[in-house]
Amino acid sequence: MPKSKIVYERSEGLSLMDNSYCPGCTHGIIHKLVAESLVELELLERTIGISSVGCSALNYDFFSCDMQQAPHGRAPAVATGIKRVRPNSIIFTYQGDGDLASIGIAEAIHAAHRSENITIVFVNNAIYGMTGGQMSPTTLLGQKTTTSPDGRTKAQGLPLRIAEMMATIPGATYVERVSVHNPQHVAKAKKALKKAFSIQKENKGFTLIEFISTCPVNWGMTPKDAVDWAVDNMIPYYPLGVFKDATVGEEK
Amino acid sequence: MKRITIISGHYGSGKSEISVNLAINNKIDYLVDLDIINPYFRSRGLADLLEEKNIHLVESTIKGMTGSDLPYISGEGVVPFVNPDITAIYDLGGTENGARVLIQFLDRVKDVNEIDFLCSVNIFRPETADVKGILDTIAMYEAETQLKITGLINNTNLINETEEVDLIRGEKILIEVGKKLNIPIVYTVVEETKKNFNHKFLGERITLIRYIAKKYL
Amino acid sequence: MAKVLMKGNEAMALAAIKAGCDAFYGYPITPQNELPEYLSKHMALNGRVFVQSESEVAAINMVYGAAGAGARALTSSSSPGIALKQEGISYMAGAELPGVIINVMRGGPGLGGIQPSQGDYKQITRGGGNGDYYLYSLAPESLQEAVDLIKESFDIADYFRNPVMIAVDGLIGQMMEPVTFDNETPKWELEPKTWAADGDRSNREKNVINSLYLDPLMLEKHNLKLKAKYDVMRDKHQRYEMINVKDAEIVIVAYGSMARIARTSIEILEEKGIKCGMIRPITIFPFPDKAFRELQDSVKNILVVEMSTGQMLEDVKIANECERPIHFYGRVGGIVPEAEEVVSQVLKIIGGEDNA
Repeated sequence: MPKSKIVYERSEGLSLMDNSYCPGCTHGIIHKLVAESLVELELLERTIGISSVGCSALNYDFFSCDMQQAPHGRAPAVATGIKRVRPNSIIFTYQGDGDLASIGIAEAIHAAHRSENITIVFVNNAIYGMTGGQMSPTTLLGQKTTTSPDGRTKAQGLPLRIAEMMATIPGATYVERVSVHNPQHVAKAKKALKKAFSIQKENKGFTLIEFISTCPVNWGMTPKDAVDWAVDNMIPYYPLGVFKDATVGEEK
Repeated sequence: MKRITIISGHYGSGKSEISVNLAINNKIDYLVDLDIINPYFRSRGLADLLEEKNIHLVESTIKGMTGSDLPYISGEGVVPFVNPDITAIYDLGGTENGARVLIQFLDRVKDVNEIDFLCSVNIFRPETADVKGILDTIAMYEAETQLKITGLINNTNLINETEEVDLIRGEKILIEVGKKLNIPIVYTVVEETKKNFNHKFLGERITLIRYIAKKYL
Repeated sequence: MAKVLMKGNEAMALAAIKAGCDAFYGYPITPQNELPEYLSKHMALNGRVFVQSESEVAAINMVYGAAGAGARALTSSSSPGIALKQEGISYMAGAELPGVIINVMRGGPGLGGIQPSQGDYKQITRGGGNGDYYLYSLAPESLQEAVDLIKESFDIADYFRNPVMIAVDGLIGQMMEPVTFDNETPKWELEPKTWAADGDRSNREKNVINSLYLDPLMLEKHNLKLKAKYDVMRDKHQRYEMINVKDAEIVIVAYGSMARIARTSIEILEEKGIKCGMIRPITIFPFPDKAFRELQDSVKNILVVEMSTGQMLEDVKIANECERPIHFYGRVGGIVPEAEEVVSQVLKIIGGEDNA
């Protein structure tokens, strides 16, 4: 019998339930990265995740840690409520661009403002996926959606750069934008998540990692074209990188 | 009684009722309601009564709006400080937050000797239940207003449930406070319904009529 | 601790601390500001949590989070702010989370005014937010009763795994009254919160706090489970006080501050030789319809008195089951009826001048 060794397995941070996402959607990758980061940092057992409203609403079933499902946009407030009474827990919210950048922008800003020890996983695919492809605050200029059928114009608002905006908030500790469009960037994104969770573990304040993501279904593209579109159109407008790192200097 | 009396104190120390009683009993010219803390039960609610008694009421810049919690202070509040012919009582809002309002008039005060800055104390308030609590409270008010408290009011009460021994106990505590700060008890407040309290209390006795709080309260 | 003199908002705040409230989340609004102000100091002194949130919406969602993690959480506000909290309250009911909400009611609609009102009765007693749910709602008439009920309310919320609303008006929030915090309050049998998603999985499987049901049959089952809970409240946990009802010819129905004023009206009527009683609902949900079964034949008329245009009136009509004529008297806009106004209304009814 040939000797076999395990080279890859499902992270124990994920439940045994198969996730429900469409082909080519990056939620699956991002879930895996969150799960692996928590496991590798040995934080999983004391983690509480906050599901929001959007395509990822059901992820209370996909993560293996404690989970609480939040009203639309309110995940950072729910996270605040929990963290203050359970300061030893590790809290992440998982929010899309409709949830965070639109209805929940106040809650996101003020959680950062209070420097809550929480981590926001912000998944930006420039569209409302769940409700059927409507325009979101991060929809690009010219991008067609079901509520900007002729393409977004300035009259509907210029796309909001969330990572840059959150970085201006004095209470924010760490803000980075990443992408998962190729293995190299997946590795980089995981590094960013681990950095954020480490900062939270050390009670050093608010962290937000923005992910450039895709929506082949509502964009009307094949998975490959969707990835290419994100690289060609989103990343130029939403550049990758660290926008704030208040821990720089203090480690020396 | 000095030309100007300013009354500070915690919630329930009786500032507004005492202010109105003193103003009426002593035919004071101005009653200045500087309460921006309480939304209800303020002396400004008695505009008609005060007018009838010839007492000029200074309240918010939007007059007569008892349903307002907009903290507009009328500039007219400065008049008694600059006109030496006017007698006045200043009714502050509760706590140090209420006392703070006074600061904006202080640059117009000509002679602090014309001002009695009194602290009304009810020992049934948890914060002013003992000597230390009262001293801390006074220190806080003085720090906020940059004025020295010049006297004490013994307004120890549990509303209808007040007994004579309570006022006597309050007096004992206030005597201690007075000794430490070298200030007198200027008034002792006895509700009209408790007129039969015969004890000879320190300071002038105010037989208090409740004008503001209605009888069902 | 003997009696102390406190302002209603402060007394309710201290009662929550005595009840073992772990965390307060709130946003300023008149006439309840002394409540968060008091807690901003005293929660910290007691090693508890106080957060001033960015909005009422955020505050109730913080309560939702803390409650999901198994903590005893409180928020307070006044009418317009309570309206904003309905989202989170509905989620709490849906996810079966306990929590206490204090509503110090003021006039409306809209920005309305800051003076006392009972205009939120329907919002409070019909759930308030989206979906099929109710809040166990207590309406004290004095500071002492408010203190005692708040001390018990956290137990009630935990027992039912449902939010409890403390419904007072601005008068109760702003008035001063002697209170003691030493009264014994009823004890409820509480089970450990093994359902809480508190991030301590050392001894259990994962917990999920959720109100989403994709399968209509499952949601129906959930709705019926909630209904069963509200049925228990209706059957076993109505609270009310019968005042002077024996041989009464007329009975007033009033709650909160309004009941307090009506007590004076009853005394005045007694002096005039008129026997007037009162049903005082202490729970406004469940509405104490059982009280109406206790009325004797001597009672010929019912007078509902409210600081609203007649919101509880409909519940009284349902409870009355067309037995007796029902009359109404109310003042709104923040105007608190005088005892004498209620008296003259009673005299009118008895004199046949007010037809129900």
